Amino acid sequence: MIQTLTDGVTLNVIPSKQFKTIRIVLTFLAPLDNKTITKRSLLASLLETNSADYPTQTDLAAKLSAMYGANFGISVNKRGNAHFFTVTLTLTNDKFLPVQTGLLAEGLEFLKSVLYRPNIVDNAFEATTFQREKENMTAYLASVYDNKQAYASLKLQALYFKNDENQRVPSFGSQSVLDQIQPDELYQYYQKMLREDQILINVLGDVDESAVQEALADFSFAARQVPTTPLFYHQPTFEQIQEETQTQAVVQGKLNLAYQVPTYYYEPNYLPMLVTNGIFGGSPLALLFTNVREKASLAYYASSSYDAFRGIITVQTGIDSKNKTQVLDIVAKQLASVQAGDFSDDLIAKTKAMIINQYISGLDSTGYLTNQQLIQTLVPTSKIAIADFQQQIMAVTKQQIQALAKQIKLQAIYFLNGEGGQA
Amino acid sequence: MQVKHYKNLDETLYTDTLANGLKVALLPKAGFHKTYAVFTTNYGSIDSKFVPLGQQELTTVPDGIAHFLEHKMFDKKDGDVFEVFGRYGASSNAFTSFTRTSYLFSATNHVQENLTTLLDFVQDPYFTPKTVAKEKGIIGQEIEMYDDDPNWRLFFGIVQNLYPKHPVRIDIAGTVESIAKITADDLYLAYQTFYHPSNMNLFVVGNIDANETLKWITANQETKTFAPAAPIQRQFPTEAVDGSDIIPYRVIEMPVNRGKSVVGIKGLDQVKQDRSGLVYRTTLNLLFDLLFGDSSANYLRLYDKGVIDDTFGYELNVERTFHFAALSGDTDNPQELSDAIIAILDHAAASPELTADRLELVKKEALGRLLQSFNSLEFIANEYSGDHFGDATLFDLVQIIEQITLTDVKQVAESFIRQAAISVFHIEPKEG
Repeated sequence: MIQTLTDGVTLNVIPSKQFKTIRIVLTFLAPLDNKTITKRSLLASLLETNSADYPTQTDLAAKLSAMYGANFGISVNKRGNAHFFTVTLTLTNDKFLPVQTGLLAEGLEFLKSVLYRPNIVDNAFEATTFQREKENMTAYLASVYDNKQAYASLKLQALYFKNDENQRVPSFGSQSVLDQIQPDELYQYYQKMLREDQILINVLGDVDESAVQEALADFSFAARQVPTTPLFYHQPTFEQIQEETQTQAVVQGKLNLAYQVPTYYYEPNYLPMLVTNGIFGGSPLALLFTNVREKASLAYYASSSYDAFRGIITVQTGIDSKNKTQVLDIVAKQLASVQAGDFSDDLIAKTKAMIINQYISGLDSTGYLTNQQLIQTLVPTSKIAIADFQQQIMAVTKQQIQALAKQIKLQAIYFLNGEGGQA
Repeated sequence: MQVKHYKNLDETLYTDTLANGLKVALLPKAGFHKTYAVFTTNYGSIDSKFVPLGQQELTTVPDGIAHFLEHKMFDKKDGDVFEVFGRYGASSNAFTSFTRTSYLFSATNHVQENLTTLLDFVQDPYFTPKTVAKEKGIIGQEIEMYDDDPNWRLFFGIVQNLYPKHPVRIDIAGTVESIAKITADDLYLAYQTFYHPSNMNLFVVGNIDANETLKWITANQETKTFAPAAPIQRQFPTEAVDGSDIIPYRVIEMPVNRGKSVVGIKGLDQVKQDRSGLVYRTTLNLLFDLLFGDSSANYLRLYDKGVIDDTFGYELNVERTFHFAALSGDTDNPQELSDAIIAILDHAAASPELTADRLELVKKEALGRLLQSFNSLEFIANEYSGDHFGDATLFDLVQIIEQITLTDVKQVAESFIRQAAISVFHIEPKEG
C-alpha cells in the first residue's frame, strides 16, 4: 500500500517474514541534469562519511557496528531522464539477536540524524572532510579507466548520447564539474535537494507499519512538487552509424555496440522485446553467446542488455583485437537471424522459461523487491501479478519477435583496440 | 538423516551420508521461491600432484586442469548442459577455486528434474580430443582477460611472493602454455580420482521438502555404480617453516591511473581441519576488524592522512594446506600504504585497538552481518560446502563468535603475525 506522507513524499511498507533483515530505502529523485549529477555523487560520499552527530568516520562506523552491523550506504544512479540518490539502511531483525534492542526505531533515528544534521561549519560542508572526499572522488573517477569493461561501456554511452549532455555524463559525475564544486555551494544545493526532490520510501521486512509511519513523521518532510519531466528518454535516430576506436596497451580488445529500440518499460511490446533481447544476446543460450563464444571460440564474453528506460540495447564483447571485423560480422548476422526467424522454437521456449525464472527469483532478493516497489510507484503499469507476467511472456509469438527485431537499429560502435599492447 | 534445529538462526538443517559416500545437506527455507543446489568436489587448482585412483605412483598433471575440467563437464555428446537446464528456465553455472570445484543451478520450478540433471551431468564425463582443443581458445581468452585485471594481478602477485613453490601461486585457470598440454586422458585421470562421491558434497537450499528431496537424491545415486571409495593421496612441495623463502618485495608496472599496494601475511602456524580451524579463522577475522576495520583509530588516522581510501580492504584465506591474509588498497603512493600497514602489524598483539569494549563492538557487527547473510541462499550453500572444518560449519558461527575472548584474539595475533611471514607487492602506473 502506497501512502502519501505529504505532496511528493510516499511511503510503501512491504510486510514480509521471509528475511532476517529490515531494509529501509529512501530515494531522492530529480530530473537528470549534467549540472547536478556530479554534486549529487559527491554528496553521497560526504553523507556516508560523517555528520554533525557522528563527526568522524569511526564514530559513524562504530554506530553501525553497535546496531549489529547495520549496513548503511548511499548510491547514485540514473534511469531514463531521472537521477536517483538512494539511501539504504539494512538492519538485522532483532528477534534473532540475543537482546531485543528496538533496532528499527534506532535505525530510523540514525537516518534522520545523518540526513538532516550533516557536518556543516559556517553554512558549508566541513572543509577537511569536503577536501578529502573530493580527492577520493577524483581518484575514483580516474580509476574507472582501469576497469576496461566499464570504461568501454562508458565510452559507448558517450558516443551514443553525444548530442545529449545529461545522458552523456556517467551517473557518478565528471571531473571537470567536480573541480568547480565549493563546500558552501554544495550545501546550498543539498538543502534544495532535501526541499525539492521527490522522495520515495520503501521498507521491507517483519515490521509494524504504524511504527514506521510514526518514526517518519519525525522527519517533518515538507510538501514538494513531483517532477513533470517524462521518465523515458528518447532521441532522434542517427542517419549514420557513429564509430570510435581507441588503442591502449591492453591484452584483450573490447568491442561494444549500441542499438536504438522504440519500445519502453511496460509500454506495449515491452515483454515481447524482453524475449527478443533474450534470444539475441540476453542469456547464455542466446544467439550471440552461442555463436560468438561457443562456436567461433572468438570471445570470452558476448552478450546484450536492454535499457527500457532509454530505448537502447547494447552489446558487449571481449575479444582478440585482430578478430574485430569477424566479430562485427557475426554479431550483425545474429541480429539478422532474429529478424529472419532463423532460430528454433526450442530457443524461444527456453528464453521464456528463463525470463520467468529470473522474475520469480527476484522475489527472494530484498534489493530486487524494494527496487521493484520503487519502480512500480513511478511506472504504475509495471505492477502486474506474477501469473499475468508469466501468461504474457508465454503468449509472445515468433512473428512478434521477428517484427520487433526489425526495429532494432545499429547506431554506434566503440572499439578499444588492444593491438600491439602487452601488459 | 540427521536433523538439527539452530534456534538462534531459526533454521533446520538436514544432513546424511549416502551409501556411496556422498554427503548431502538440505536446508528448507520457508517463503522462498527459489531452490539453489550446489554439487562440490573437494578438488581445486592446487591438486595437481596426486596418486590416480587404482594406481600406486604419484603423477603430475598440467596446471589449470581442475578449471579446464569444470568447463568441459558442460559439454556432452548430445549437446550443452546449459540447454538441458534451460528447458525449465533454470540457470546453471560452476566455479573453481584453489581447493574446490562446484556445479550449481538455481530454479523456481521442476526441482527434481533439475537436481537429476545436476547429478547426472557431473557424474557422466565426456571428453574428446576435439572438444578439448576447442576449449583452449575460450580459456585462453579468459586468462587474458584476467591478465588485464589489476586486482587479479595484485592478488596473485602477493600470493607468488608468499608461496615460492606451493601451487596456490599459479592462476586457477593455469597459463596459456600449461593448458595447451592438457589432453582428454589427463581429464579422465583427474576426474576418476577426484569426482568419486566420497570426495563430494551436495547442498540444496530453498523451496524444498527435505524428506522428498533426499529420496530423489538417494534414488538417483542408487542407479549408479562407483569404484570402492579410497583415500586420495595428494602431495605438495615443502616450503620453509620459518618463512625464509618468502620473497619480501616485488613491483610491476601496468597501464593504470593509480597504483596499488598489498601486504601479505603467510600463516606459518598449523591450522587443523576441524572446529578449531573455524574458530581460528573467525578469531583472525575479528583481529583484523579490530586492527584495520572502519571503526578503528588506525583506519581513521590513515584515511584522514589520505594513505587509504574506500578501496582499502583485507581478506583471509584459510584453506586446505595453506592460509594467508592480504591487505590492499589503491593509492598514489604504494610504499606509504604498505609501510603504514606493516607498522601496525609489527605491534599487533600489543595494539591499543585490542580492548574488551572494542571486541564487543566488532563481535556485534560480525553477528549481525552473519544473520543478514542468511537472506542469501547462494551464500549459505557456497559457504557451507566450501569449508573444510570437519563437522563445524557456518551454522556454528553464532556460538563461535559469542565465545571468542580478548585473550583468544591476542593469542591468534602472536601466532599468525610474524615478521618473517610478511611480504609486499606493488603495482605502479606505467607511463604513456
